[in-house]
Amino acid sequence: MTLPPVPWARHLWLPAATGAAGALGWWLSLQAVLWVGLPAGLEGPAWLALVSCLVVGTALWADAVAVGRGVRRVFVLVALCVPACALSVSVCAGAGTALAALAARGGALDQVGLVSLRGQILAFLLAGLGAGVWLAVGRLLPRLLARWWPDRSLTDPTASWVVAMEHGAAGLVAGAAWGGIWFVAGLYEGLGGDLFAAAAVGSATFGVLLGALAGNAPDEAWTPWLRVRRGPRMGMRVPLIDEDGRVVERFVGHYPRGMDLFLPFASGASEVHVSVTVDQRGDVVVRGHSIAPTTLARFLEAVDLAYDPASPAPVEAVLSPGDVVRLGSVELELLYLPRTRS
Amino acid sequence: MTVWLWACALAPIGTPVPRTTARLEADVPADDSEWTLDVRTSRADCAAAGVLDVTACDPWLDRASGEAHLSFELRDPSTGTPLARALTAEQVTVLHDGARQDDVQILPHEPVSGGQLFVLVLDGSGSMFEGDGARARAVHDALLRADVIAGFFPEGDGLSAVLPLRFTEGITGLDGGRARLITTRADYEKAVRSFLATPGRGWTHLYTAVVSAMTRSLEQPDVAAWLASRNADPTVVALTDGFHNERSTDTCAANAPRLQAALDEVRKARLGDGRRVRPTLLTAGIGRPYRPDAGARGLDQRVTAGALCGPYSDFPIDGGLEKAGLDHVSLEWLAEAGGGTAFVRQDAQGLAAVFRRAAAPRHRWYEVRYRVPDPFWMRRSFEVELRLESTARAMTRVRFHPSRWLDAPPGVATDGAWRAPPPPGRSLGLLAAIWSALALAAAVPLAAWTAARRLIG
Repeated sequence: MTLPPVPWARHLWLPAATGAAGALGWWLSLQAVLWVGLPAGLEGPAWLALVSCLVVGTALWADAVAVGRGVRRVFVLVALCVPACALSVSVCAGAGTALAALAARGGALDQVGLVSLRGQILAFLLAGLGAGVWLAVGRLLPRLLARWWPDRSLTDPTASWVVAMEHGAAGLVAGAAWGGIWFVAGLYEGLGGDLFAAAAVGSATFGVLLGALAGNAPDEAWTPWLRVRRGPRMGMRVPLIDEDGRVVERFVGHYPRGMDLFLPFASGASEVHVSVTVDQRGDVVVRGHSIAPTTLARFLEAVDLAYDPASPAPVEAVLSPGDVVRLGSVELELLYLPRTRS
Repeated sequence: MTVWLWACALAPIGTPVPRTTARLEADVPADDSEWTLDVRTSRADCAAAGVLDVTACDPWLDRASGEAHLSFELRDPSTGTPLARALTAEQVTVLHDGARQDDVQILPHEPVSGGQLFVLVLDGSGSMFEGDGARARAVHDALLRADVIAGFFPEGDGLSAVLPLRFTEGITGLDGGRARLITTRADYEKAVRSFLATPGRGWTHLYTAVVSAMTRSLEQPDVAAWLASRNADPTVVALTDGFHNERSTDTCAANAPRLQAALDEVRKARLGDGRRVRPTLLTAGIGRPYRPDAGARGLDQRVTAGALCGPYSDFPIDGGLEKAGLDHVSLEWLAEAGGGTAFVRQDAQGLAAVFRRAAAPRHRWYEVRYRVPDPFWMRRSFEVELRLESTARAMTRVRFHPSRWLDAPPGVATDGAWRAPPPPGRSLGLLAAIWSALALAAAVPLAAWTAARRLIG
């Protein structure tokens, strides 16, 4: 799976994947109702459970892929969490609907075919909460299992109980949005007034929201790399954070000893031409150490990084993904890769 | 608690409605129905009935447009035998949760090729031939219209016949002789022409003639044999221009017990146990109703002088009420008992429409479609009540349970005003659209990043 080389893109990539999973859950549920003919009392719980477990499974899978876990271990993780999520959400959703009907005993809410937000919002909230909780369990599980199944690739350093609570809250928000969109878009003519499309859009929205609020791999799971984009040694790359998690400054030049990224003299690189590191704010910065022409090119902008002998310090600029540093015939660029791939 | 919840969830509720997320409970016919109005509530029902167009037979619900489709057939309640009848939308009333629906369509399916006998009971009294005989000529002209003849004798059918009768104080053939069963167009046209050529006179024994046409005429050996050999259904059309009148001193009130006796006989002929032949009675008046604002009083009501005559109970008929118009109240009462409809028309064209209606093709089963004014009415379980009010009294109820959670793809507009189930794959289309939108959203940063790199060079 190709990951986006820009960290902020995961804020769209992972929610898109979980949103697609939510929509798939809706479609499968609808097919089950249309062609298999589920019992009327199971339609709602089956829909909510299928969407929730697919979203959770996709989030866990995408999360694990992002931090570079092995496929077999990811499969074990998903296989443990998804069925449990489906079972618990279906029971909770059924109980939520039944409780709403019980609370309104004598009213209309116990009707088999009544479409009512009041009667069904509890089921959506419980489904969202269940999905959030099981997503958190899925992320905490590697840490819990680490004692018996030590494997660095299974351990997510960012998972914590606080994150778990955030996941629960995110699930509640996503569940509320799901129920709200399902009801409002299914009711009002101006918003479509079509329960068919409303259920689909609601399911996809649930996936997108849960993915955006709880399913993402954190920034810490990504490592910035400096790579030769063009010229001699094209494709050569060095990480800006070492294996112990410490920030290091990488020097680029043709000096034969001590350069983190050696470039041949013929490329036009100076002995010590530029260095790249991560500053205290977390930004990647590039510093020019050579009076030879050195340019940072980005969209509609170019920064001259050539060293000014009159200046007490080298010129430095923030380096973002997509920017290009030109020195001689070489071009350098910044990449982000999952940390465990380093 | 968990067991109880699962028990509730798994409790069977109705049958899934094909291509929808709704469910439909079995129909519950009313106990006092004269016929059984049998709604097919599942594909299995349709298949068991051996219908040809199973798709049209399937019930269907489109919550997005507020449309519901059902199919039904009529059955003899005692034997369960299917009854093929000609029905129109005016004869069927649809109630959605008790509210009568106006946007209703009845679609006939599978025309029945079995025989039909049309018994024409024409008033041959003097009033029909008064003046220039305009009323008799209107009847004559209507009966000889090509579309009416084609209705009575469908091309290449050979299973239809007409028994033309005229009545005054007695009942005879159109030419005043013995009633004869007519099976060819040529004989029919000849018989109709003889009606105009034989001016009538005498009193108008309408009730007696109707009862005779519904009973004794059908028991004539040749008629009974013809009916039996072709498994035919008789339709009686009684036409008059005045009142039932037996003597000069008759008042309107005198007709009340006579009409009641006739109604009893007509109902017995149509609904009596063990009858193989169950005729339907249509009545037609030529002229104008003598009190236009009045009509028959409800269903199965006893005839009283007040109900039949209003303020004219003691008015004489001969030379009195008959000058004011025709007794449409009696006609309505007779039609109601005979399972048909009463018409009052003024000219040949109007009468022709009545005869065409009598000769309308019968169908094995019908599809009923209706649309509620606001689809919101379908966001809960609802009851549909189908009532047949003119051919016979029949009523049945079915209960729809739309899904609380999901809906099938909405119907697609057809050439007409009604929707049809969407083709398979519509939901897959929506899924693909959502996936495409999400993929596009996810691809934007990559595309932007790549584009920026290209622009930089």
